[in-house]
This record gives sequence, structure tokens and C-alpha cells, in this order.
Amino acid sequence: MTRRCAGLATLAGAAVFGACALLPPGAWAAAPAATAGLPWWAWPLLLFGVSFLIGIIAVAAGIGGGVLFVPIVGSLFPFHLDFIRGAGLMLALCGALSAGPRLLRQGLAELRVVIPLSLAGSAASMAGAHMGLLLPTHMLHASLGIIVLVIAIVMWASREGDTAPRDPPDALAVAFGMGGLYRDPASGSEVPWQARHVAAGVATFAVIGFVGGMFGLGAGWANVPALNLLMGLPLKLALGTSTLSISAINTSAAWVYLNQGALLPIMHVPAILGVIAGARVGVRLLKVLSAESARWLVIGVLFIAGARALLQGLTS
Amino acid sequence: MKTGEESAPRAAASGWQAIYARWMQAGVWVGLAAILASFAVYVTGLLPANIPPAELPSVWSLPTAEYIARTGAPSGWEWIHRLYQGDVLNFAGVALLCSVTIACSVRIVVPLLRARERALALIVVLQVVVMLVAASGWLR
Repeated sequence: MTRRCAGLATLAGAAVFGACALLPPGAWAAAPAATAGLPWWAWPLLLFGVSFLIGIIAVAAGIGGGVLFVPIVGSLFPFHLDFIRGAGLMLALCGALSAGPRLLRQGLAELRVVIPLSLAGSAASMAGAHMGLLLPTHMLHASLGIIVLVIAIVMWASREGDTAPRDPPDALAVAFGMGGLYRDPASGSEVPWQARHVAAGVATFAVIGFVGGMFGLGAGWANVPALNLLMGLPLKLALGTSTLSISAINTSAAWVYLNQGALLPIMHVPAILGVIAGARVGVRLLKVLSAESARWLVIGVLFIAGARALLQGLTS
Repeated sequence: MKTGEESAPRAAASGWQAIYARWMQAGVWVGLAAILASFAVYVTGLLPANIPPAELPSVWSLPTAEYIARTGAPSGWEWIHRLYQGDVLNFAGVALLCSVTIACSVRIVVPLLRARERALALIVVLQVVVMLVAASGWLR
């Protein structure tokens, strides 16, 4: 029964996103009659519902919700992209802050790795946020579309590894003490790890931070491959460390959006609540939905949302 | 510089990492509670709002600059003088959440120095400076 419910919920999510994909780009946003036809309170409820679905799929696929939230809400809702990006950042920030303490206590996130990476990331995300708020709307839509399509391709192409690092210890990694032992809570086994390519990691996080700040996207889609494949952290430690780094990197960009007045409580509060509630359901779905299926669902949604955003930018 | 042996096995968070986790935990609870409470105040109309929810659909599709010009919504730190308005009150919750990482970072500087982690302490101080610059709105 649970399996059937989970399957139905997943199908419903896919159907909603699929149906939305069939709408012409900006269908709701470009139709004032549609906006006027609904009472104001219907919009936060709709936003809650969409965020709920995003939360389910994001957890099942092991990514943050921000990367789905901005392109989907941007192409389906009447809100300006400035406010959607602000809400996307708040969403990612709240998720990271909520998970951070537990990850640290369980040894599934390493602050020694987060600190140098997030210095570069947060300076870049601040610059990205300023840049993003200066761009004209059609250019933002088009570049968001391109970025989201690139993310979909990266997710499609990347395969995380979980092997012990083979390269010799990195001098910077040794200097910062980026190595040790973490206990896998699932197997109970202790996994030795040693970071490598720290300078390349810092540069990568600067690029990721800039893109994240500019488009209000969470950064898990890029952080995890960077930490796991480039820097050699075990996959689970990379997942936790990525989440913790988002809490530091997104803080700078979120302050910029707050200072520019690019936050609407009617948006970010339902979005935060929806994703948190969806994530709880998503955790249960993990038992019956394979991560691979969820990953393909996310890639499909990103392709559709990215194409719609690109089309929206090119036609407006 | 640490040697390879010094950077060898550590278990779950201890020392300054545990302090960071404790402060983050407390901060996120306070911030989320503030966001939810201020949102409830806004939608129930307990305080008068700069833009009542029913009027939002006519302006939420505008770019930020035009939205502010049209509605008189606060930018920068203006919100701190207008906390008597239900919608502006929500900015306080957001500011609290955005301050959590800053507070955690400041809190671990001394423990890091005590642990002779001078390089990490310096980076944390730089990180705090970056976040404070972002918070100040100085680059606006």
C-alpha cells in the first residue's frame, strides 16, 4: 500500500511538472487576467503545493530544492524573477542551516573543508547577487535557461565515486588538516579520507558561488561532484559538507537580496514550508523510489524548465 | 603547517566544530520562529502593512527597483525603522537567519586560536568581513 501511494505520489509529481511543461513559457506570468482571476491567497497556496512536490523529488534525488525552485516557479508563476531568486536563496539557506548542526554532530560534514571553500564562495556569491540584480529580465531568463540546461547536462554526465583518494595528500589540505576518518552511519564502518586539489576546489567554489548568487540556485548539484570527484571526499561526507557550505555561501547573497528589497514574505515563507514538508515525505519515499529514478526525474524537469526559461528570455 | 599525522583521524564534531553546531542550532530555531511569527502577523493583519497581501498581485511581477519605487517598500536597512509594519517585520526574521552563520563564525575565532589553528582563524575572520560587507549594503 505504501509502495503504491509512493508510486502514485511520484507519478502525480511528474504529471504536474509535465502538464506545466506543456504550457507556453510565461503562460501565467504573461496573463494578467489569470493573476487577477485568482484571489491573492491562492498564490501562496499554489506555491506551497509546488514547493512540496519539489521537496519530495529533491530529497529523493539527493539535491537541494533551490535548483528546481527557481526555474520551475520562474516559468509558471507571475512573480518577478528577482523575488523568485530571493526566495530560492532563502529556501537553500534555511535547508542548509536546519541540516548543518546534525551533520556536524554526526561527523558527516567537515568545517575545516567548508571554511576555505566558503570564503571564496561567499565573496563570489555576493558579486553574483549584485550582478544578477542589475541584469535586464529577458537576459536573466535566457541566462537562467542556459545555466539550468548546463546543470541538467552536468547531472546527466556525472557519476559520483566513493573510492579512497589515490593522489598524494595536497599540501594545502595537510596545512588545513583536511583529512581524517569518518564513520558511515549506515554501515558503521570507518572511512579514511584525505582532501586533494584544494586550490582547484576553492576556484570551483568561487564559480559555483557566483552562479548561485546570480540565479538564487542552491549549489548542491555542483558542490557534491566538486567535493567528491575533484577533492576526493567520500560521497556521504561530500554531501554533508556541501550542505554546510551552502549555509555560509548563501548568507552573503541573501543579505544582498534583503538589502535590495528583493524578498516577498508571501513567497519565501510558503516556499520554505512547502519544501520542508515535502522533504519529510521524500525521506519516506526513499525506501520505495530508487535514487536513480528520482535523478532522471530531476534531469527531465531541469531540461524542460531550462528550455522554457531560455525560450521565455528569447521571446520577451 | 600541520603534518600528515596531525591531520589524521578525527571522529564526529568536537571542540570548535561542536560550538559552531550548537550556535547554528540555536540560531536557526530563533530565525525560523521569527519568520513564521512575523508571517502570521502579516497575513492576519495584526499590524498594518506597507503593502497588504491583497494588493500584492498588482506589483509582484515588477522588477525590484520598480516595485520599490511604486510601493515605497524598504531597501537597505530602512526596514529596521519600520518594524511596526506587518510585511516589513518579516525582514527581521530573514535578517536573523542571515546572521546565524556570521554569529557562528565569530564565536569560533577564539577557540580556533586557542587550538593553534591560526590559518583557519584568519580565514574565518576574512569570511566574517565578507559577510558583514554583504550585510552592510555598502556595495549597493
